[in-house]
Amino acid sequence: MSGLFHTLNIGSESLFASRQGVDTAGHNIANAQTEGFSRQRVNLEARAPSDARGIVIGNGVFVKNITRAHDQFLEKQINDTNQESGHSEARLDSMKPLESIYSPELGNGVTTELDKFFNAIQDLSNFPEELPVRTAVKETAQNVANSFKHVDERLKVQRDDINDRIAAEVGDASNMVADIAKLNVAIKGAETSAASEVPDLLDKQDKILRELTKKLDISYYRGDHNMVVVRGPSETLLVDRGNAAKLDVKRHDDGTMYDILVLDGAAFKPTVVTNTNKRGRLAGLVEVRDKVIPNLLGSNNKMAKGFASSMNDVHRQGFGLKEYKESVGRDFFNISDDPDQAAQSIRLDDLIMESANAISVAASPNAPGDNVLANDMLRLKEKKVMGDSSLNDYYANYVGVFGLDLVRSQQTRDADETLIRNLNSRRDSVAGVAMDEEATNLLKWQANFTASSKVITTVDEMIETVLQMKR
Amino acid sequence: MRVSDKQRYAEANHRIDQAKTDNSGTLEQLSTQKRVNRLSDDPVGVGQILRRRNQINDISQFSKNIEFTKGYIDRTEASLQGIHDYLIRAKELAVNLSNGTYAANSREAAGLEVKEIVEGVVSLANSSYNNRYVFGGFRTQTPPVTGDGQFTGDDGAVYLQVESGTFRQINLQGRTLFEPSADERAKGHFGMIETLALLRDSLRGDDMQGIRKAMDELDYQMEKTTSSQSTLGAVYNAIDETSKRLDLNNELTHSDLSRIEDADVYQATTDFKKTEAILQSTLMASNKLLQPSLLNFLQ
Repeated sequence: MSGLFHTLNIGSESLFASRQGVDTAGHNIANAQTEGFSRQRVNLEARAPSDARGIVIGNGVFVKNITRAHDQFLEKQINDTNQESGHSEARLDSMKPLESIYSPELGNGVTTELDKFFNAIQDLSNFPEELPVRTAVKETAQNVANSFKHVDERLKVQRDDINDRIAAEVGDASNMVADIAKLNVAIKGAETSAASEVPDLLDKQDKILRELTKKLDISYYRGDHNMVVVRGPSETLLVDRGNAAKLDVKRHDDGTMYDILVLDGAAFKPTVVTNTNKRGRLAGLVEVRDKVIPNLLGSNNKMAKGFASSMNDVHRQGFGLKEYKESVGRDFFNISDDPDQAAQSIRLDDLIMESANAISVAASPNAPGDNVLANDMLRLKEKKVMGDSSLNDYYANYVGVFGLDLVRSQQTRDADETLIRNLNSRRDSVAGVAMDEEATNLLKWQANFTASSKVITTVDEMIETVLQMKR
Repeated sequence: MRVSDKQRYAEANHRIDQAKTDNSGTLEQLSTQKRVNRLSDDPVGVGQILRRRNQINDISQFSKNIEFTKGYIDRTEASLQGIHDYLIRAKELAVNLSNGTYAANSREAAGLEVKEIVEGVVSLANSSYNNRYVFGGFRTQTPPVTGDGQFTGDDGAVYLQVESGTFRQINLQGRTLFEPSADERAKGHFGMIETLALLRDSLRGDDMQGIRKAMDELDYQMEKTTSSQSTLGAVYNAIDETSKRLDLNNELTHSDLSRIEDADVYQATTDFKKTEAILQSTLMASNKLLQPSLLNFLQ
């Protein structure tokens, strides 16, 4: 059927389509700076033609759907890189604070205190019978013990800090997983036969997915009704349709550090994923907490133990002054036998704490001027007491290894960041809003709108003409 | 290529960040004058820096040790010189008075002088430096030689570190000077004080035989003293050499440390100027870049 009303209808549909064009351009402009927003496009389609008295005539336009500019392969690539960059970023961020413990500017580092201690022993070698010199040895020895303890404490504070951060990030990840599942429901609900996708909801979900990939090692795909299925580490099922798994932390069996749990399935069966989670921020944090810091703690403990026991070996042979001038066998330091507690337990022996006369450097009894063992102690400075290296070399070595690790993770982070920036730039190139383009679109739709209204006014005039025919 | 607004803003932000980071990095070098400000600036360098600082610290301690050692040896040497002078005087007296032309009362008077000499030698044998008796071995807190010439010290050899890995003996073991070894005793030699006491008693007792015997023995004692002096002199020279070497080493290590640790100020200044210029032009360019839009031309 065709007639004037048919033409009027074409005009009004065209008017509607043009208005929709302006509307979408406005939506794009409004969201130009919205994180995760993809620009939208109005897809018009000519209506199916109809046959009127043997002529096929056009039926005007209709708004077929509104889609977003989106490249799902690029999105996958971004998320893949996000996993790596989340890992390297968290690793670097949590290692960076450790650096200050070992920075060369800190005057009270272990080596500085060791130097001062050995200087005091030099003085003791020069003046073995002087009480002030002995007191200085006592003081500097206490400072050495404290510097070992200090390193131990600061490393542990950082480790606890990272542990808390892991708990917080797991909480965040758990919320994200729940949000993704909720959006799945919303996406399915909003789907109509005409519009198979809902751009704004998909954008929102993609954004959360991007954040989740930064945190956790996941893989995902879009299944039925555009709903996303997310799998976590150890083949756990994080999101399936509207069902979300829970993520939680639990103290490890030894009661200190957190394990990461995924509770999935209908029964919410817990799976420990602390070590199977290889990528994302959480993996980086766990790595620093469970590998980097324990290594540093171990080296510090080993050094404390090596220093204390080699000092004790020498000191035990020595005679002291006054009340101690005829007896041997005293320790210089007390230190725990447990290698994990060496640095935190090291302290001066009680006898020395009580009296500096108990400092025993004489190889023979009743010999106040005997400095033989003080010289033996001095030799410890160069001696390979740490297996195949001296104390200072051992320190420089383990700190250097940590430093190189730090530099390497900085480089990895920088590389990942560049990669992410490039990918994001490509994504923005596809999905970002360009103002100039939107301005052109506005002009375009406006002109279209004006022209459509001309169709309507023309038909109006034609109807007028028809009505004039009979008065 | 399609360029969205977000891309342009992100790019501008990134460039400005980069320029600021570079700029503040060189600023840090300029204000600390150090190239290595934290471990990650140069992890291998930090190891080297620690080692150099350690060396410098050692060297200043060794210099302190050497100063002490020199003082200690000076004191020992002065005492030996004093003892040697006393022995010469005693020898003179012995030579003169072994001549029969002198009367017994002259010998009596000379005996009095030798008595003083004995006391003088004992007092020098008990010299101390910084409250330590220098001839007593490790028994530094008790006078090593009694009035009648008994040696009460021990054979402790006091070693001090004067260089990395080098310990030097700085004391003379008093026993070799003041007490005859079994070997010497077998050959008929006496202790130093014993010899002087023999001379003193022989002079007083007008015992020509004894005077001559003491006279010969004095030669032996003088020889022993001289040889000890030359031993000490050798140690002193060696330590002096070490001290010079340490000074040189100190300078080298300092310049080495500076090379590793310090910023090249000219380089850093140029870099700073450069990064500053880059930052400014980035800011300027960003300003220009972000302004034009079709919207500005639509009225």
